[in-house]
Amino acid sequence: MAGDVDPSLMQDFLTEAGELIEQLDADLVRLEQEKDTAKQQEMLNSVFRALHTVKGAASFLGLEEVIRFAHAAEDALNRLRKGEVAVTQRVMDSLLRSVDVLRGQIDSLNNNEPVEQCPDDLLKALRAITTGESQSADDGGQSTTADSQPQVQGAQSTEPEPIQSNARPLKLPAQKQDLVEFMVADLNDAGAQIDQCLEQARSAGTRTDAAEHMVELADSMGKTADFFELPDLTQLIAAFGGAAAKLADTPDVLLDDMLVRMAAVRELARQQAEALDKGLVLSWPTQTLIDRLNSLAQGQKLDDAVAGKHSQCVEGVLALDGVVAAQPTAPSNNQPQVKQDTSDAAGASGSTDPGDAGDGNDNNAKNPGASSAKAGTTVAEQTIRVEVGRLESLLNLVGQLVLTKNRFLGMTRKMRDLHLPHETLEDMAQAAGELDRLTGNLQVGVMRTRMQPLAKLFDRYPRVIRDMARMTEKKLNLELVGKDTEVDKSVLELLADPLVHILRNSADHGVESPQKRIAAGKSETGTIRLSAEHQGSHVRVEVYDDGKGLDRDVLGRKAIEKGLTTQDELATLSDDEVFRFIFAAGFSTAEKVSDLSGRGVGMDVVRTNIAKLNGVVNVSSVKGEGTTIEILIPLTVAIMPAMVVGVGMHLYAVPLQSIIEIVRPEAASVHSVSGQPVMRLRDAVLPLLDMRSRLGEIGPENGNRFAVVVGVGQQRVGLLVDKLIGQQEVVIKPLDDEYTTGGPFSGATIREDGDVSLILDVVQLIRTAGTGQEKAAA
Amino acid sequence: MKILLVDDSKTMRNIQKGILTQLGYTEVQEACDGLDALSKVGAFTPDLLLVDWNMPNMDGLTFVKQFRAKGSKAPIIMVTTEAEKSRVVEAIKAGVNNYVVKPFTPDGLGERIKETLARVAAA
Repeated sequence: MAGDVDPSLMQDFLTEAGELIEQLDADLVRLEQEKDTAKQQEMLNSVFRALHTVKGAASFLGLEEVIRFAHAAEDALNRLRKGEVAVTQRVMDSLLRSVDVLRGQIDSLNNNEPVEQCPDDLLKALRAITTGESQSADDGGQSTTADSQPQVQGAQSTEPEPIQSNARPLKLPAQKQDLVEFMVADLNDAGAQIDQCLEQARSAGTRTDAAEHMVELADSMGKTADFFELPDLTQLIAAFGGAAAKLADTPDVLLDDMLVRMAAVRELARQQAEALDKGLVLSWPTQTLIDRLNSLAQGQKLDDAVAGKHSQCVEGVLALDGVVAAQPTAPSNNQPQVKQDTSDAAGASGSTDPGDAGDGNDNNAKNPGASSAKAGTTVAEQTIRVEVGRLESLLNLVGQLVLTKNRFLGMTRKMRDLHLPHETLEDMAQAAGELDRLTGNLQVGVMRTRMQPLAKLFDRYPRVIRDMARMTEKKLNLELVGKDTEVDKSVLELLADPLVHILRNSADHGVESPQKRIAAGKSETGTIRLSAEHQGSHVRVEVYDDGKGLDRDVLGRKAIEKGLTTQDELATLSDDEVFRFIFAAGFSTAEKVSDLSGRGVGMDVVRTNIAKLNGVVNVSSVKGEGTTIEILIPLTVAIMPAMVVGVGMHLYAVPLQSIIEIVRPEAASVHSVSGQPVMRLRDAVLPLLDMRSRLGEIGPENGNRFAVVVGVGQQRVGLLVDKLIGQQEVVIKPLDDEYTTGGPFSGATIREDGDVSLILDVVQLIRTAGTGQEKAAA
Repeated sequence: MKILLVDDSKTMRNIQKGILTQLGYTEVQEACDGLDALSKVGAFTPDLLLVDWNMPNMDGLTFVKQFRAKGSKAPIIMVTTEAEKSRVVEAIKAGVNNYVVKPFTPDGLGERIKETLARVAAA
């Protein structure tokens, strides 16, 4: 279908269309909620623009299915935009579904699959919006034009014939010809305003205002005349404008001569408009009229033979200035006829498209204009698209640079022992420091190129919540906080699904039905708040709902049923630990599996995806008041600060983010509880994990061991290590899954001395510490 | 012959640019909306502008008004759709010299450009 299309153009289109569709989706959902009609209008314009762009580009690429469908949707949308169809849920359902179909079509194109046809029922629904509900409006529009037509014709029949003799057929390129009727309406409209202004210009009090208005009118009329390739009229109007500009300064003695000539120009414009309507162009010898207007504008008196000889009427001037041959039959009813004509025309144009659309457009232009003027450069975003692959490789290079820098820093430290001259060492240290700083900046800079605002994700969710609300018949309000928060692209991608699952869960299981909410003394509408913020080197994303909260008893029972815990063990678990069961695979407390959630897959995805990001999920909930799910994720997954520790013969890296503190256990404070070594740390008991045995390290026992206290959520474990090397930025090199399964490693990194260290997976360690305990107990 | 393309859609710009290249116009710059275009006309001084109507931040009409208000005389071809045609009069009053309806063929656009330039040369 689009086989002959330049593939890079196609790729551009698909990328852009994808973005636009996201925007469409978000805007439509906001639109439905928006009460302020001005803002609604603004959103409709934005929606229309997005759809329109997709359609426009698709038509160039010959994507028939996409065009056909986008066109139907656009027509429907246009009705909304003109206010002819109200924003109702039913209309929005159709429009939102259209977006889905469009997204499907774009996806198919992306995957080189044949584009699906638009479902007929949807197409029908769209057409119903376009035609059915707007029938009356459409008729109205047509009848006004139909009405005005015969009247114009009627006026023409009384037209003095002699003027017609200088008429020739109008020859214009087709696309300009198409607009002639609009131009006629517009000229008449402007003419009516000029009549009024000329009246006002007679009295000194209103003269200045009237003159200013006429200058503006002349400007647009002149441009119109030029567009329609009417040089005569263009020149006349230019002279008219010049006179209007000087009107306020014109001495009274010249005023009459000037105003009557301005009225003459206006009359010629009227005649021209009439002729145009019949497909004719008139031409006159207008040079004298123009010259006289120009000299009057310059404050020059006309020749005595001419000055004041216009007999106070337009016909008189036209004859005097040789525009038309003097006619005894010049109809004196011309003036009222003009008035009648133009008022009709003004009425017609007021109720038809150009006026309305023009107004809407002006508003539209003003609002963003005002805001963009303030925001300036931030709005006119200067962006370039870069392939992700290139950024990826850039980040890789920076990673290696960081490693090399680490090696270099290590070497400079060693050189201190080499008894080199003091100055050389000083220089080295300085250069090393500089390198350290620059690499740091470079790393931050490159990382920032991969950062994207969470808005990219968050903006999808109003739609999710809207659909949930429709399906569950609940009233839901989604609050988005901090969507400008930026995270690494990979984080963004891995976060997308978990958030959908959490939100669905909150909407489906968290928030109660309106009846139950009212019974519980809450507001009918449930609130779900999705917020994000930076916390140090982490991003904290929180989903809060003011629903019924989690029930410890129900969860506990279910957990025992699933064999996740035992009755005895359950008693010892804290609330938070019980709540964590919701993340277990296949865990669902929903009585029935709904379309939306309850299959018990969702929250498991949350846990696994967050774990992939080295993140942490916490749940807190108050029964009857609501649930908060908190996700903490490191800003980037590629480079992280870590503590390098020595165990036996090797060095390992422990992610700094999970380290809470490091202590040196006194032999006296270490005990053993059912085979598990523990130590007393302040008022709590901390389980210890001997890393030597856990990692199978051998080597001389070091009496002075350290306990690196790490934590995930509320769980704490002390890792017993032999040595502390220091804090370092480590670049994470992923390990193939085959090697890491079972092993508590999340990756590897290259140290400053060039050797490889494994990065300890704290989550895994803590989990196995738990199972180890269980085994010991069993 | 310097041409400034003003359109918010990169795809559209690429397509138009392709057509312009086919037509032998190679000195083409792009702007993504009215504001962007206003910031570029000063340095680029285009001999012809192709301006889309519907754009974020500043639409084509507003741009034409402001561009003309600066006294710039360079011819402007408005790019519109069938649906917007009735509004083109607004743009004409603001000083647009010609318009072309999307989707257009290379010949169609070439025709418009020739027409427009011929009129400017004649004036």
